Amino acid sequence: MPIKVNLDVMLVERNMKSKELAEIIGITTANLSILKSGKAKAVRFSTLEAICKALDCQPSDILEYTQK
Amino acid sequence: MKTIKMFGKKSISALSYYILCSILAILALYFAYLSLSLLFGNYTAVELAGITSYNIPIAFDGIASQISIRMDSLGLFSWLFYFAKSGVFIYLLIVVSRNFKKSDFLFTRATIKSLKFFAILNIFMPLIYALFHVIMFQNLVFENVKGAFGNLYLGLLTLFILAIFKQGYKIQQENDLTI
Repeated sequence: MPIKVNLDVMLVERNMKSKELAEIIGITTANLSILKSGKAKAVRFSTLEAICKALDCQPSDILEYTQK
Repeated sequence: MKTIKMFGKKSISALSYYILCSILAILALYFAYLSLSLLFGNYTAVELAGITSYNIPIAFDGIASQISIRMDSLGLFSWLFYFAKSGVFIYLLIVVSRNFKKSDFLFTRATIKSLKFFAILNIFMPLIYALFHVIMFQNLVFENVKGAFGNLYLGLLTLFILAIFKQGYKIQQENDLTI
């Protein structure tokens, strides 16, 4: 998929575990795993907002476009 | 006004499933009764125009009746064909209603697969009828196969429903993978 989700990088930088982030933003760890693995078909703005708020970052820190 | 639950547990689909299972069980019992009657001599042999028929007694609510089975290859094959066709038809309906009853999620691969088999069977029913008549009677009269055209229409209708379910499945998958 051309859109790469760099959540793992941000989680390491913020010293946060996936389970913790999932609880804060209100999604299941399974869904967060789908997002991290690049299998997600779409992300809601509300979810993106919650992730950016929890990780104190910008959408561009999490989402990257690659020309594969 | 409370909406009637169509799918999932305790729904119209569940009721349909149990009714169809009962019908299939009755059909199986009927077939077993006729088979055992033939096996154990519970019939009266009648000869007419060189063809022997076996009259098997059946009684519903005290009303005596009988079923006549021609004891030549044609009669036996017709009898078996009737039960096989009815049994497969009801079984496929059971599979479809079971998939509707099983889950509150309507658009599943199992449902799509069962609808596909049901559509295929019904679409090919006129051809099966025609082949049967050609093999057994060495002729093909429209009167004898016209009943199967109702199945053809049912099959085509099921194809439309199948297309809707395929679309629904695709949308559900995308929704499930929208975080």
